[in-house]
Amino acid sequence: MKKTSNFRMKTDINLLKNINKVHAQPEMFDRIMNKIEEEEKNLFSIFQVSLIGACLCLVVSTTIYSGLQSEEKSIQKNSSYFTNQNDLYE
Amino acid sequence: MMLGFEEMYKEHCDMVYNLALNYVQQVEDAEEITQDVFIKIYHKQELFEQRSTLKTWIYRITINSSLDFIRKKRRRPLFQLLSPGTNDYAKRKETKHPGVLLEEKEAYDRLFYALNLLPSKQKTVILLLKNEGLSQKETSKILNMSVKGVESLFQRAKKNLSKQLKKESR
Repeated sequence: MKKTSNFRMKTDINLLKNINKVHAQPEMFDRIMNKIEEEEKNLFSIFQVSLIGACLCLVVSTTIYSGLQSEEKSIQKNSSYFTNQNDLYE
Repeated sequence: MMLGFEEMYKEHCDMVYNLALNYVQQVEDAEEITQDVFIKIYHKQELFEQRSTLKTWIYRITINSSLDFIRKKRRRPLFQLLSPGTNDYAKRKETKHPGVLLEEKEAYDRLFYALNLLPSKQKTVILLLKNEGLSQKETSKILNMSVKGVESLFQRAKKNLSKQLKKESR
């Protein structure tokens, strides 16, 4: 019984040797090249979008920064005015 | 560079396609894997170090891509709901391998079913040694293992395959 199953096993695993080789479709190369081109285009558009995004971020942060700076200056001006007023009272 | 890639493709496309076919036993899936392999090769060909041969390198990429493809298919529960049993190779009892003769299909269905139940390394070692007809030395280079390691892995794989086949014939 054991012999039979061993023989069967050997036949089965050796079946792998008898599988016929199949040729890949000739148009597959064009499909691969198209996919590569498409991927490169996508990558370029992602790069463009992220570049625009980075520029926008830079503009927004510069605007906020300059706004904050001018506000700080005006606060400083006001505080010095009040100090002077205090000085007057003293 | 482009001509080099085309030549590389012509020389290795059948090897890649047939190995992928033996992993997934379906034409459409094997084509998808083959495309994926050559896209990876296109992008990484400059990174290829001459430490291994080109063939070994392509074998490695094909094996990894096939195993990744199978793993990804297992992770698609929505598709599994739509067509149960067709995405998980370990559960599929019928194969659509074009290299198999119709009169032998039943035997191959049984063999591939058992093979798909094995751990990926064991399945790989069986495919490389038995189907690709590579030597243990070549296989060890592809799998980055010692020759002895390949030998013991193959023995374990054979044992497990035998168990699976026995289970199925019951």
